[in-house]
Amino acid sequence: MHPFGGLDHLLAMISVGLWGAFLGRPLIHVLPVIFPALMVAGAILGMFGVPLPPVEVGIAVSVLVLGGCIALSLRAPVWAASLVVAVFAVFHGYAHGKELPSAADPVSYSAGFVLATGLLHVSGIGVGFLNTRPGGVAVTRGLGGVIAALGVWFLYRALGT
Amino acid sequence: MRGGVVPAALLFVALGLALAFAPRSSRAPSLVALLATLAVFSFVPAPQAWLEETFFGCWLAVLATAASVHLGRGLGRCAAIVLSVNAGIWASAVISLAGSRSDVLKALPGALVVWPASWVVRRYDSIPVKVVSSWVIAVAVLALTLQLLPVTPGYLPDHLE
Amino acid sequence: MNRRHAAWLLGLLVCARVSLVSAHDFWLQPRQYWITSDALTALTLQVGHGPLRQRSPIPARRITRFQALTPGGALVDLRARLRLGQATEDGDFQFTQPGAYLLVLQTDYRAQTHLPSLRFNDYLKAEGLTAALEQRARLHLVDADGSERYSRCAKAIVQVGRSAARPQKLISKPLGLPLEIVPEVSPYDVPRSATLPVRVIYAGHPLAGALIKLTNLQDDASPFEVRHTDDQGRASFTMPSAGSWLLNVIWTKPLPRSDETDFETVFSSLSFGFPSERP
Repeated sequence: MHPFGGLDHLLAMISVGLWGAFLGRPLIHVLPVIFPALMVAGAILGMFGVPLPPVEVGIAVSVLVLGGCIALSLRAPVWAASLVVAVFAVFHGYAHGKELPSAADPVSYSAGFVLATGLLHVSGIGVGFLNTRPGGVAVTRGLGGVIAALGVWFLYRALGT
Repeated sequence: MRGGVVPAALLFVALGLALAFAPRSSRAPSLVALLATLAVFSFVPAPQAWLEETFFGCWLAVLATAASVHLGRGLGRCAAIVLSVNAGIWASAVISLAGSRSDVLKALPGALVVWPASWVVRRYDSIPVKVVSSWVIAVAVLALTLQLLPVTPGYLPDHLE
Repeated sequence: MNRRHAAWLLGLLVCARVSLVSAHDFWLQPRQYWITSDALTALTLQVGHGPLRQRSPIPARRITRFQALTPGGALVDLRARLRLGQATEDGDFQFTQPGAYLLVLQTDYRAQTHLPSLRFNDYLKAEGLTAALEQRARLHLVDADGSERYSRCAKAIVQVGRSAARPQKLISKPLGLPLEIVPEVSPYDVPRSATLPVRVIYAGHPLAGALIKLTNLQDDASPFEVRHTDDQGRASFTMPSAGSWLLNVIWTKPLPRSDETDFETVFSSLSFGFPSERP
């Protein structure tokens, strides 16, 4: 049972865009491609029922780690950032993939979550443009801190259920 | 429900994105080719026995058309027209099997994305359009995978016999 | 589920909620349940409710039994009267002797379903198959796709001529179906009982804890009444007085892991109806 009404998923999507904005080119546009692509891979694993570690824990960890990377202004190399985002994307996709075959309109469902994911990344990138303003970096790092703190809470709930 | 509108609309969106990378002089002929194909094939309904194969072929067409965006040199004039005719054939086929003729009009506006997409490519960068095409590819991959699953999908009733 | 709500946050997307597109119930539907002697009466095999209600596409080779229990207690084979898939009917029947007849149809177990996990769990919940749900939970298979082979048992009560003055006890006779709804009074008795008590029998024994639904076939998007059988396999409904009605029950048992499917399920129904004016 999802503890926070999809908020963890939402925050992770925004965090990918926000972190991409911090990291700049090429990751600012690579991450919004990697995440949906690996999310689809995760969805396919979910559709075929391939066993994965607990998905709720993976999603909670994604919020914690991505929020932490933003809060700490972590400038990871392209390969590392891509790998981190790819692994988390699989968990997010897996959760959607479990639901997709049962959806009355699976194509609209797929289009919905892929497009929403992409647009949340874009909104995260939009928030990331605050970095160019005076004091903007502190604001976005603060946001990252809040997201990471929520990630701790999600993880606590996920481990408890 | 499993209508033909969404796959056709996504196919037209993919075509619009692909045409954004085609020579400007090829766009009008490509769209005319699309409309002509739709006009002809809307009177040639696909056999009902080919329902699954037709949807599968349409999704492959979506995937291939969206993937053409990532070609290094963009689309040539001939390729643009071939893709347009291809899109017209598959869109007509799925709509004839799972929709009404008016669904073509509902799906067709997806092709209009060619203009904002080509403006972005010309004015800024090709990357945002390529990112969007990757989302379309993601939806097509999920739809194709769903057809390969050995379970009754959500849009079909179970326990019919 | 809430993750879907998060995905739609920016309001740009088509809502695609998980929902059941189900067609579980199966029954015999004579054109009329009250007929005159020697009237040739068509019937159809129906499946699903509400907007999904349709003629069953079941092939004739899967029908193992189609009989009528006559007022005299004889079993008459009616398989020759089946013509499945015709334009407007799946068969017909014609009875001479006045009284209540029980039509009975049974299929083999060769139908199968394979459903994704969410949908299979929802189906088990909706049909009250809690033992199957518990077993899936116990074996940590809740997230696994589910499969079953299933069969159909359907009965229909048809009245030829007026109701007899005395109770029609043959209606309460079990017919040896794997899963059977046996009415303890006939809905066509005069005077009509205020309640319709039924027994559910599974493999020859009373079935406790089964979910039975009474549905008005003229308004069948959702059941009219729902009951669970008690320890003696009994349940009681309000006796309808007009229209066409359906009682249905489902039961399932797990199969060995070596089997092709996870469960073996029986769907059983009993339909009856009342004329607008009795003959």
